[in-house]
Amino acid sequence: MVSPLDEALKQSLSAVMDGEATPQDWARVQAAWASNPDLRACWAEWQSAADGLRAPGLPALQQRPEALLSALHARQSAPDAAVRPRAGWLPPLAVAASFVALTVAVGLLKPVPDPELAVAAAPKPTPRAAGLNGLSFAQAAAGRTLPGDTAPEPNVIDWGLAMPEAAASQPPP
Amino acid sequence: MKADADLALVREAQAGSRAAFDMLVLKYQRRVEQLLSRSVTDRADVADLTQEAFLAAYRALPGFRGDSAFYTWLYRIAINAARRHLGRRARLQLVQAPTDDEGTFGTDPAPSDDATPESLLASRQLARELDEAVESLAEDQRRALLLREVDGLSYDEIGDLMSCPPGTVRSRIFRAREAVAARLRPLLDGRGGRRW
Repeated sequence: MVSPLDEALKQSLSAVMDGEATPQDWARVQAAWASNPDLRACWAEWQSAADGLRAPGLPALQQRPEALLSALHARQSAPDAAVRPRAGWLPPLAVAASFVALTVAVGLLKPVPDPELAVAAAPKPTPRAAGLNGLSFAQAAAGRTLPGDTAPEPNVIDWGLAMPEAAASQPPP
Repeated sequence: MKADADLALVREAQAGSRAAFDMLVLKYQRRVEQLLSRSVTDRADVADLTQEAFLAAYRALPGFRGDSAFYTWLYRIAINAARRHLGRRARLQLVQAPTDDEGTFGTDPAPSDDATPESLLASRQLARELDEAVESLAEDQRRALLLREVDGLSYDEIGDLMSCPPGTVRSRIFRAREAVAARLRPLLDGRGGRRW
């Protein structure tokens, strides 16, 4: 327990507890707090009594106050004690950022195609039905033709999408 | 006007005083543990979550503006810590359940000792001792202590009611605290080695 010599210190502590401390009180307590376990014990005992006065019953502590402070001090001093973004959204954000960076990098590395080459390399338009050699899909898939069905599929609708490149590039009349 | 001891400590802690934050921790340790014990039964988990809650409060303290009472703010932090813990635990049980081939679903650790008859008895004994300690105080000390601790009055207000200067109030409250703590100390010491 705190010795009688520390009475002034304890009286200052009592004033701190009541929110009535003068700057001198606070300076005295602050200076002694870290190095004086009895002062901390005194504070905790007074808090226990205050808890008991304000509420019926006084449940046991789950851990020793000094142990709690020690554990907290260790964790406060750890590098991760600094305020940092929540881990909940950080990993997805990192993945998204990586994806965007990769996309940009690939875009920069890819040579810009010559427009003329691009036109030359464009796939040759094909009438829609020609890919099936004039057969219906079912016929082509079956790999056989039915009797009398050798003629080109008459019901294939040409939507104009298969217009030859030269015709498509001509201005409308 | 009532003295706001918490706000003074918060301001000191925000200015970098670890002592002030320690004081807040010790002041609210019991209440936070009690709060967490309502939803978490394992004592070790309660202890871990108490640390987690106070650490979160420490990290968030620079943003605390004092719009609400400090304990209201701390209460929310502790509740969130308990929710996260229960969520993690539920997910863990979902993963573990299919491998539990002995049919021991729902086996929880023993509840915290707050619920045991022994701890309830100790709690009642402590409350009785506290009542007796307060009753045995000198009248002026008892009044000053109760006006401060129960009614939350400032030294000035108590001085007005008791017709004495604030310095006398300060001294009476301190003496009362010392006397009460001296009566409680053996019981507090004897509770499983919990020194304070």
